[in-house]
Amino acid sequence: MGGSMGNHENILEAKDVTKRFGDVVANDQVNLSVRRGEIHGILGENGAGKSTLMNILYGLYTPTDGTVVFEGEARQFASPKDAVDAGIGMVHQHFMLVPSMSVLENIVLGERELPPGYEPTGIGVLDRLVGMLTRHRSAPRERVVELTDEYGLDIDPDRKVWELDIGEQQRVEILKALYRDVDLLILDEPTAVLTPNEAEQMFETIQSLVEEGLTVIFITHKLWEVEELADRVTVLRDGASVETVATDGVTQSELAELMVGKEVLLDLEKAPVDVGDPVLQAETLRVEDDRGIEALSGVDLTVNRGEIVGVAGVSGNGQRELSQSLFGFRPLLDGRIRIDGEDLTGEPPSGFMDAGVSYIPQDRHEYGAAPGLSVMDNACAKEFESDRFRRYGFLLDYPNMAEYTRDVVDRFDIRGVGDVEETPAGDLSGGNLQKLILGRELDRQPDLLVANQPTRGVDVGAIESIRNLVLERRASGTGVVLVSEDLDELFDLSDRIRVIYEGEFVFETTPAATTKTEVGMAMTTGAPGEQSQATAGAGVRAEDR
Amino acid sequence: MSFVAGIADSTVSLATPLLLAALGEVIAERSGVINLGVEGMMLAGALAGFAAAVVTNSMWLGVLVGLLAGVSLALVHAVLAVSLNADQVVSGIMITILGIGLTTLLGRSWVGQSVSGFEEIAVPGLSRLPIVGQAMFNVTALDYLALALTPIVWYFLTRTNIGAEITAVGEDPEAADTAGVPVFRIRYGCILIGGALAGIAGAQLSVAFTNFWTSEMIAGRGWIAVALVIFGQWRVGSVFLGAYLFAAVDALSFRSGDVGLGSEVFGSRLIADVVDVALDPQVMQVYPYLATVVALWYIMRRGTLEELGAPNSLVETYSRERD
Repeated sequence: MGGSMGNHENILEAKDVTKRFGDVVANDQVNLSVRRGEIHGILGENGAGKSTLMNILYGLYTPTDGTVVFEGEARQFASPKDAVDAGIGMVHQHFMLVPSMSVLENIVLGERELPPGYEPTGIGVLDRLVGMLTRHRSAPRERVVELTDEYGLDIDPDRKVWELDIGEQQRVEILKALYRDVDLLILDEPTAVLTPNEAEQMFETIQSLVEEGLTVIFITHKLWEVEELADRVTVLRDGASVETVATDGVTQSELAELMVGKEVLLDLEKAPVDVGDPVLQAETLRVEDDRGIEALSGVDLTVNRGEIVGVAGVSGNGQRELSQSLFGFRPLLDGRIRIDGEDLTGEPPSGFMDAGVSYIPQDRHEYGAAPGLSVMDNACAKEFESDRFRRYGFLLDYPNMAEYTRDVVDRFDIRGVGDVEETPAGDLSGGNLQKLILGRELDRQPDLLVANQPTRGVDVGAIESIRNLVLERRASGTGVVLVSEDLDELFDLSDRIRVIYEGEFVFETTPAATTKTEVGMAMTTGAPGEQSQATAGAGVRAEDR
Repeated sequence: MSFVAGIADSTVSLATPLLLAALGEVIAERSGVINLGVEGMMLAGALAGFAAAVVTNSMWLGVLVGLLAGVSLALVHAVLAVSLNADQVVSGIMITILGIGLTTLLGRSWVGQSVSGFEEIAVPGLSRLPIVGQAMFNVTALDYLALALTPIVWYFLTRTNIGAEITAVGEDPEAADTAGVPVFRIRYGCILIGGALAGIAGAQLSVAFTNFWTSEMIAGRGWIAVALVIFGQWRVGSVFLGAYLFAAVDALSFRSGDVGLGSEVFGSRLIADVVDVALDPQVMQVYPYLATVVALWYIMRRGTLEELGAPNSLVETYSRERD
């Protein structure tokens, strides 16, 4: 537990902050106080109002009601620039970087550094014009290099942002804030997009920020991260602040209860299921990624009925392409795919659908759902051509579709749906939208389910029900390919685990026969190897729970 | 004046309005806002500038008033497209239609009048060069202005802090906003600069080039300017070249009366007929538009707008509290 805690003065306070978007109350009289020099966790489910609150603190949103006090002064930030000038920086969950520009340009953007040696004349207009119409980068570059050294944020300032991986982009975001001399840094779910090793590095960075005197607000919905990193944590639920507690005196299950409002079962009922005939037989699959680089170099994968095969891997090792090709969504350069013995090689997604394959894509907004269409349209999207929703042979049977959708909403406990025909699917929170997609895919009673990161970015309550739904399907004989970066999920659900590394399966095991450390090693190095503490941070941490 | 020198001379004068309007459009589009009101802004600039020049007998006041007319219409576009998040395409086309309607109505009483126009200013020495001497170095102040603005706009967009901010706003306004870039002010500024240049472009046509006003005088040049930006892939240098290329085609049709080719040159009856039709002054007036279509066809075959270099957020509106 880090942090210089010498001064107990609050650097930031939010008092009764309320934010409404139309009729929706995103923040309801939220109170928050952050002490100087602490790491303050903000914990809450998706849709609990965490990001809204942070966007208010950062000047992006104007609060409907309430006050924000920063450094002892009531402030109303009109723009992020105001907040940054006051000393608040923020790293958003979706990075705010311009991909076509260099690291240095992104860091300096908006600062309008004056040319070296230019003495401000005191004539505001003139100085402003000089700032706008010149561009000097030598001094800023030195400053950036200094900062990278000081905080160990290794990055080449001249690379374009689009060339960087996610972890590097995050470092650029932090540098952007440090360059602006902020005192308080807000990190919105910083580990959500990182691999376990990158997350470990991120934690070290946060510690060193606090050692240098910064205060950090850290948003997450992962309980162990709060326990590990934060000094105190404020829990938000349904837009309101529930409680602020010191992490020393609280357990994870107590936090979980505060977060979801009821005691959650973190364990799943996983009964043994008799494994049946092979439902998926994929042989020597070779595919390219979007850039035309080989993503799978001849992999085999067999899944039997009633079996969950977990595919573990660090993002970008071919698992996305694998899941796409198992649904006919990505053309094969080589190889064969059989579903229930039937050869579907070269078939379009509709062929796979008809053969009884269901697919849950990684990106639920882009591929999984049409956010602008209603919940009903989305729920029926794969069935609207079937006879059950036909009327007179060529019209859609709206009453029937609506009734069916209400039934799905009910059975899969999808919340936030007003009128199934009116509410756009995009209005649902991440977890509920995922349950809608899952409901649609599972209700088809698939023979094979291909799920890519089904619980990523989903809150605890929804995670539990999604995992149980997958287990139910397994019990009724569906074969499942579960692609995930979450080792807990893989260990909880899988019957077999296969590790993918640089387009090949490098390790096969079962949850009982291995440890998370071993799988973590295989994910990051390509071999389960010796269990070294240095490189197996992910596995170790997961086991610590 | 020889035929070729005549073409070259007209090319420079005709390139000026295209270049001014297209430079303005590059600035606006680099900030992520497409302005399809250029045609209307040029019309407004042409009429207002001409009227002011007639009344005051000052050509420069005419240009200034033309500029202000362009800015006024651009302000409408900025309020609609930036502040109120209206569809940029709809707003722009509306402004063009508004410009056509207003200038046709208000311009009636100005038809038939004329102004003295601008003196040509010769650059000592350079103006004696063959062909390009008269064309490039003995032209009006507005032609020099357009030539001078090309490197200035290039420098402004690619070598200054504000240029980097404009690029960032055009690529990702949300990222720019969170970095402290004043997104709304920048978009307003870029649209207004675009309107000012379109206004000057219009005034150049009426005050400096034809010296009279007719309601058809812009004749789609505003649209060609928009196409030029795509053809030039949002780069100032390429837009400059494109403007000259199109102006040359335009000059060809403008000078078509000078052409004496036809049946006496070509022996074959059929070829002679085709050539006669192709060189008919009425037909030749179609060439600039035909060239626009061909140029867009050529460039769009090479990739999507993004691949060609269009700003990522072009045509997209931005507001903060949108989830």
